[in-house]
Amino acid sequence: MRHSKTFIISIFIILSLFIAQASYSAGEGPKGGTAPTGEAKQDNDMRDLLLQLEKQVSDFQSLKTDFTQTKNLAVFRNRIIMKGRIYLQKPGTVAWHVDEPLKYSVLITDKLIRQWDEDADQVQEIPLSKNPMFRVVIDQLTAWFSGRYVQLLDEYTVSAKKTQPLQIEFIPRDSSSVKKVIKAITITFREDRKYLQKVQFDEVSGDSTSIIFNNTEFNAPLKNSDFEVKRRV
Amino acid sequence: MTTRWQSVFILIICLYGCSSVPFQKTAYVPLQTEDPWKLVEHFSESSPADFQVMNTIVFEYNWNKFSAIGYIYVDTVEKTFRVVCMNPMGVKLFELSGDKDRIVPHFVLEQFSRKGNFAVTVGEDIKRIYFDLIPSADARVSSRRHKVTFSEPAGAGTMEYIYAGAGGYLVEKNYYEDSAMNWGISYYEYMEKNGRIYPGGIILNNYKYSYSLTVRLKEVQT
Repeated sequence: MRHSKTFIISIFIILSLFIAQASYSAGEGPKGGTAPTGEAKQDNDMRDLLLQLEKQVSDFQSLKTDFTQTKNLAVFRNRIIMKGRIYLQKPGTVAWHVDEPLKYSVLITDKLIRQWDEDADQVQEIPLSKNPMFRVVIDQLTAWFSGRYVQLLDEYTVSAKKTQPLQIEFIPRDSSSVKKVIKAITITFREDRKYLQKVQFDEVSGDSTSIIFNNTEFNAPLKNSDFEVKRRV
Repeated sequence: MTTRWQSVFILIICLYGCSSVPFQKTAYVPLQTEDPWKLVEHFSESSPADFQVMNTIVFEYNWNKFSAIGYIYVDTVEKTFRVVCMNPMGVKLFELSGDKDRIVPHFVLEQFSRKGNFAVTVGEDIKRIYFDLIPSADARVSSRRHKVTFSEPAGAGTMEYIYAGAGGYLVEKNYYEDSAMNWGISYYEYMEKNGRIYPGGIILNNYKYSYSLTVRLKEVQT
């Protein structure tokens, strides 16, 4: 169980990174009113933009997308490239399948986590009732994929880096616990701004991770097999 | 009756043990050379002095398993290493460096660091796997048709090196204390890349603390 717990925590951390980071300090971070006046105006402008994006991004019930995750480790010159697929069915079922360099699948529902990888070749099931923090993760995951970005203003200084395509940078506020790990998160939207094209995490350690989403489809009929976590060949 | 059940139990354990080795078993063939030290010399010359590889690793403890992806740089001459390990979703679990005398944790996921001195345990396993793969000149030699075994005092116990297979490469490295195997490493499926040999599979069994590591070579990086 010890390793299972470790793994759960690992997943929690990455999902937290992927999602919104807001759960780190719900209620801890500086609220809108605490920022200086200049920043407050900027935050208001950004809030309007994020609200607009929320409307554009949240208009779907299901989603499937391919992804390519590239990790640059500061101490090694080579990059690690992971490829896979994500399936999401509102209100809270997510399947994450890694195809390279290691076959790995994880299903997260409102009741359980189920995971498998080709080397361990063991399906592990973890009830959510024993891991309430995963409830938070699922809420966060859905929020991220659904585009509920406004809440990030509590934890990050948010600014637009580019407009074509739209690129938004999230820098953890000094008071944020994330600041110890994350230097900046940059999200790039598709041309139609309906969804994300890329997320880039720059870490304080010098490592960085980018995730590029390809072949994203909204409201495409999803198959049961898309959410299956079982032995793959 | 008890004996029968014990036999069944042993059989189950053996079957489990056999099926849990995911690598091709080394074929024990008659060794080409009469001189055991020639084998060691050939193995040493064929092995890379320093290398960087990507592995996948399965940690197994108390019937629980989890997998990780590891990047490791090893300099066998200077006896230094650097390793970064992450889970299949790309979350960094730990980053360590070390040499023959010390292990430096650069990052360890909090949940790992709570469990005793995790960095030292991992670092020691890396050193066991990748360092000191050659016996010293004083080692005692036992030659058989299909394998050569070297043993020598090490720490509080005895280190054993077994060379076998078509290439006469290192296939086992075992450490004993009080006549019991403390830990053992098996090397499988050697492959050649740029004129150097790399084991395609490695299994470390730590009998003292009842855990195992299964390491699969995914990529040799140049």
